[in-house]
Amino acid sequence: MADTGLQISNVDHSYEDKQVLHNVNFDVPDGKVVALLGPSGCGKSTILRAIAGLITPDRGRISLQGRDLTKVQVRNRKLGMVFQNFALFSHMTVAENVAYGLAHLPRQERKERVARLLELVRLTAFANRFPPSLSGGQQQRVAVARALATDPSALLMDEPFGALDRALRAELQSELVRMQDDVGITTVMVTHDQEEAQAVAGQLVVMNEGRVEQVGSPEEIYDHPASLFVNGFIGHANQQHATVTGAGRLKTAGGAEIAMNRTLNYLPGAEVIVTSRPEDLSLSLTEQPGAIAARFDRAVVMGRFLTIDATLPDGTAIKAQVLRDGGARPGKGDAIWLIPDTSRLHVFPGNNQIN
Amino acid sequence: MIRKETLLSWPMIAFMVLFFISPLLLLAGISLRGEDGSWGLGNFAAFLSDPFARGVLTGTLALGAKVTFFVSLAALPLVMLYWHAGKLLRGLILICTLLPMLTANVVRTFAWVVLLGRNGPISQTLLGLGLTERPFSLLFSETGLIIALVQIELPLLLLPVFAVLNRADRKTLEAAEVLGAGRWRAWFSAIFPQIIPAVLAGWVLVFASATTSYVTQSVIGGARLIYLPQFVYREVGVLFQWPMAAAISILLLASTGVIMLGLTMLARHERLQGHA
Repeated sequence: MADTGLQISNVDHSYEDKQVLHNVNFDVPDGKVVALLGPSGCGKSTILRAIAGLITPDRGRISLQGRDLTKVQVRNRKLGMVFQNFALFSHMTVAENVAYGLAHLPRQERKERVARLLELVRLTAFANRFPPSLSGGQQQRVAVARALATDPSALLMDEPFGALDRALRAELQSELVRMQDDVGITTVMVTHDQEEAQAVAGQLVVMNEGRVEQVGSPEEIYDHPASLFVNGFIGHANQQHATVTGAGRLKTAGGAEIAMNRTLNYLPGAEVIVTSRPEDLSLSLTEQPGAIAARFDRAVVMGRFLTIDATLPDGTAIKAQVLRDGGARPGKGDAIWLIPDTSRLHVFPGNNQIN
Repeated sequence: MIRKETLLSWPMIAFMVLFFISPLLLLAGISLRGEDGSWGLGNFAAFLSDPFARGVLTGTLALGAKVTFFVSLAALPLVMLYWHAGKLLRGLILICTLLPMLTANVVRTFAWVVLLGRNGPISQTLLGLGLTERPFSLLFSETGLIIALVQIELPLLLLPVFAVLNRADRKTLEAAEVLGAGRWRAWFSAIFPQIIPAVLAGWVLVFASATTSYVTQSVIGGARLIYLPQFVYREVGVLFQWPMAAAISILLLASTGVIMLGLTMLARHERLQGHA
């Protein structure tokens, strides 16, 4: 096993009778930011708590720079953690909060350290204020400074932007990226917001129902989703039932014949689900070979793009995003044809339900 | 200007004015009346210049302070236990705390008379263990009185603290642990500040209740240990010195009032604002 980075190997965990983590594996390279991404209740916070030592997993190994953390007590793990609602000590000033983990240092050194961190998060002027008198964004920065003060070997963040309003979030995300560049600390962040994950992290770990569905860069995950869940969770994915008719050939439930530009690992006759991104569909008002027939519902202008909502013959909704041109727009209920970019279609086994 | 929203509180306000505020003002008035019918602070001066009376006043306040201190000492392990307990044990602790409150103060006091007496279990157990040579009685001693008052007043501190612990924020505790704090430091920096306002409220209740508990003070303290409530009673019931009794009552009210005010001001400290 490598002696660098944070490694999560074969972690299982149950709360009472319910298993919430199933064989979770992923690595965080030294100095990199990884986002644990998934819907609520997928186990991402549980994994973070296991890394912090707030829970002891039933099975598996968590190691940091080659050191097995599993048996190490919370307070000896030397990790920094930012909690969802920041969990600041409201009876202590900002400076006292930041100094909390530095009790072992001599007074002078502690003071210098606190001053340096407050400068890093740009809160020097607020050193003697109490957290309840600060705004959400300022409280979040106090929480980050407090977590970084102990010079931890890794930083854990549980929905660090979850308690903030949208406008502030983007600003603090780029602030965090800037700080991460300065400090270069190994970071694991938990979020349910895919945009936030992609904005901050170089590597995503997509989780669902206690399992890791895919680990990869945002591009890899968007372009090559490993499962139907990942495909639908990151960005929008139109889903259609289809049957494999031959090598690289599909027939959708709506009757469209699609010729893929690659062979598929499915036997002819196999039930599959074929998915497309809205931006990989183009609009046609006349029937075309390989096009998906649909009924037009509405179009919404999004800057230079037009987002089209349509319905397939079997009642499934389909979304397309096309460049706006001066051409005529169909009316509600008109027949339209959507031409997929076959190189960017994904095919998944069809035995699970479309959700 | 009478606002509609306050309408429902008017009967209660009227009741308080009629049966609490006005008698209190009447009492204050009586206290200013001298034996010869003149008006002035003579009663207060007489009380405060009498060394015995001053001793009773300071003794009463000291009793309140001692009971509050020992109640806090007794409450700490229970609060810790309650914090770490599961749902079931928490319910059990709560019932055990509430149960004595369902019994009248007089009954609880007489139970302590039995327990503290020469043939009571405390004396007999220590005798049986050979820790004392002859049976002894804790009755009519301040030690006995404090023991009884601590048990009787304990729920007044525990209940508000339990209420806060039920909705205490555990995340701060976890934050403290992740930052390297040991169990005690983490608890005292994360949970303790949250319960301070409840502790101060409990102290006010315990102090006020201990200094004015006429029944317990007179039954367990006996005739030799005199506190202000008995002093007032003696002035009224034995000496028929109504103005003097009124003056002593006002002094008792003022001295406990000052301490309560101090504790309440403390609860408004800037450092406690996040936990209000």
